[in-house]
Amino acid sequence: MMKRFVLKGILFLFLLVCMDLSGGYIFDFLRETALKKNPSKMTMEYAMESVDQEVIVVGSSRAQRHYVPDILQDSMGMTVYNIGKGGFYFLYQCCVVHEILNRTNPKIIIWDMEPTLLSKPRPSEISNLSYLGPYYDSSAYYRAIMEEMCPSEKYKMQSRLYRYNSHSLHYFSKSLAVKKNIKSVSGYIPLPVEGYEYPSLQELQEADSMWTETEKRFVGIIRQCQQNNVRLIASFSPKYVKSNYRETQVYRRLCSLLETHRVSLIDCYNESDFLNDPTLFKDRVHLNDRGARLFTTKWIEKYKARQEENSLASADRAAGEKG
Amino acid sequence: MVFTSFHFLLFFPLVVLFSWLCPKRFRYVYLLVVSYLFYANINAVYALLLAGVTSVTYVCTRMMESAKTERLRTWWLRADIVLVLCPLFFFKYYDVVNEGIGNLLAGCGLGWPLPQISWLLPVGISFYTFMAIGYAIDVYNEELEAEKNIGVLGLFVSFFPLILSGPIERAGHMLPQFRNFKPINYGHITAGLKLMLWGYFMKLVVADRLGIYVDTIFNNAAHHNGTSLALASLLYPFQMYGDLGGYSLIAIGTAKCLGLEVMQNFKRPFFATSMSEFWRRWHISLIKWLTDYIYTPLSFRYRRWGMAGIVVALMATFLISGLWHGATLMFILWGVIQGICLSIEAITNKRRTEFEKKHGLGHRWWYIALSCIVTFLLFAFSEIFGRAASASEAFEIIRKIFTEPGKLFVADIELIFASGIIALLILFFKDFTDEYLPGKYLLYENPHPVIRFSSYLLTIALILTLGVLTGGQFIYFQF
Repeated sequence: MMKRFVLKGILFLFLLVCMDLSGGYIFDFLRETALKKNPSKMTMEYAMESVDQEVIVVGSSRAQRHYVPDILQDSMGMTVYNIGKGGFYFLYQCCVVHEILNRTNPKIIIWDMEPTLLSKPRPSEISNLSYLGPYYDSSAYYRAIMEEMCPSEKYKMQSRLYRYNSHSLHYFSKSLAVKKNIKSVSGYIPLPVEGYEYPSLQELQEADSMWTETEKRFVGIIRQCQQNNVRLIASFSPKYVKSNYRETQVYRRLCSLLETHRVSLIDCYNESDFLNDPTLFKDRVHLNDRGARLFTTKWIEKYKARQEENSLASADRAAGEKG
Repeated sequence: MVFTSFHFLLFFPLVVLFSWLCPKRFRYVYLLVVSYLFYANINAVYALLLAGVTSVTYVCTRMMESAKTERLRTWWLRADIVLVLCPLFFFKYYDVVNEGIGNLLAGCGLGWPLPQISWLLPVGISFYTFMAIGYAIDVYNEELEAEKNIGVLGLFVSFFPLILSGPIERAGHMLPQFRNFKPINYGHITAGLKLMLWGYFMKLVVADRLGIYVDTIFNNAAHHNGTSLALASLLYPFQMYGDLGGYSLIAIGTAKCLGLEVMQNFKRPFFATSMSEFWRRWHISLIKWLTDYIYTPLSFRYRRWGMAGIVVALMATFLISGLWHGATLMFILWGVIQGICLSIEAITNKRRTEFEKKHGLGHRWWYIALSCIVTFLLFAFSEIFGRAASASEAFEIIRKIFTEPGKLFVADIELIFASGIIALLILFFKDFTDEYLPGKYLLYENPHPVIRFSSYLLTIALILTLGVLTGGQFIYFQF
């Protein structure tokens, strides 16, 4: 009995490995084809493999739906791409930014984050990391995060098909150039301005548990930006909640980190212009298109004001040095 | 450790290998240790509870058997049922009952000193409690002799493939197998692995993919229109079927790899042409348990009432079934709906059968299809109460389904939705051919090895590419 079982088992395993490898090659091919045919619909792949604009907006769905590249482009005089992706948070963003910095040198990275960035990641954030599976071999940074966060992934990722888990239909459809009805302009996806109930203002007690791993990873990315001469700007876009974030330790720690590493922070999180107008929001955490356009304009004003302050400060410093 | 965890994939082959190597007379000890390790891996403290339930059942059934009078035997049975049900009541119903009494007394201006205890329900407690009670009743009815070896009884109550979500096995079926293990052979292992493979497909690809859509809609029911809610309500039964049906197949397959036979738990339920037939195909082990220990004694007791006695027994059985699922108004309503449907069927059964015979409808494909659809719709409707967050939300969902049509929500998750639908069609094809074309279109059982092996490989490829492999839980763990 055992001999028969072992022989059939070996044959089955051999066929399984062959299927897995060939399936992996097919999906590699589909991914490349889809990226060539339909780059604007392949946010993650475009960010990991192709993005080369001068200004890159990084973040989750809040970045994707809050920063309008056209407005930024016109005001800053640089090419802009928004690689924000819904449901994908800090760890994913670190992987993407790391790969971008390895491949190209943008001038500015605008990183949309939460004031509570340094708190412990939510479980979905870790499980969503597996979406970067196709880059398991090519990105040592991603590999290290995966092996640290989910040790069993090291074994699972040996399967080439597993790396494409949940991507298969996406790559099929995009490589066949099936129509997708998202209006994406340089990564920005607008939300409708009417046809739904506007949110009501609520108070929010932010989570306040520090997680040193996040800090370690964030500082690593800041240093990588500095080494590559990339200007990193931290940004809090508006939320329709009355938050106590300024009282939290994680926020204070984040501010001190940003200050230590001379990273500018543009904070519109609880800005009154937005808190006074629920019609700018689709829901409590997302601005609608009108809100996004207003926010991007405000953001530019703040950015320019910050630029002026910086240039004045450097002029002062230069004068001081001369004197 | 759950069946869908990576650890189980390492644990399972080792258990089978050592079980094969273990001498037959010690195999029950080995499996008992493995089962307790499996359960303690979830929560070590709850393993003590399991040991307690086993010990109480052992002592009471032994005392029952040696009791000299009928009265004493009955006393030991009652003592066993009360003691075994205590943990279940405490963990599952204490808070609800306590809150209810508190509110009632508060209404009369009186205080209630007992605090709320929000402890987590020990996973599987409803399942092993029912197994233990069923065994005690069988001993009381002298259908079984009380097990003298506490290790064998302990294995029956704690057997790891069944402990978390069933099937709710019967002592008469399992104890003889635990006393005298069959040798594990090639046929057992391959048959077991095939069941497990299909079970994983049902759980990871069908249930969990559909679950993403269903959860998205039901968890934000207030923000969705009637069309999306209707679709989610229609998909939820398939999600449940994939979830518990998949779990059951993995459990049955695991047991089979160890040389043990476990009862079937699902038999293509969505091809049932009536609610009574549906309940002979859906969660068979629970319904058989309820039939044997609740429905049959009740209908026997009220036999003089005629049809009214049957209606009372049906309503009581499904109310208990609802309460078994959870001590909430929603599950009570769920039980009431099932009870009403089955009672109407029982009352009209004779006339319906005559009508079908007279018009020769029984073999007409369209009549069978229509009956299947009506049965499915009734079940899907009742499951709105099983899935909604509260009774008021369930009524709101039903209102929206009938009064607020709109654009179907698939934005952002359209590919997830598409994956779920593809998986559902594959499942439907398999069940359809098994139901109406048995022996044709064989895949795992195809005599041609190329087709057989291709089917295995294709299923694995589908699981790897379309499955939700994040180690999610099974729906029935909450019960």
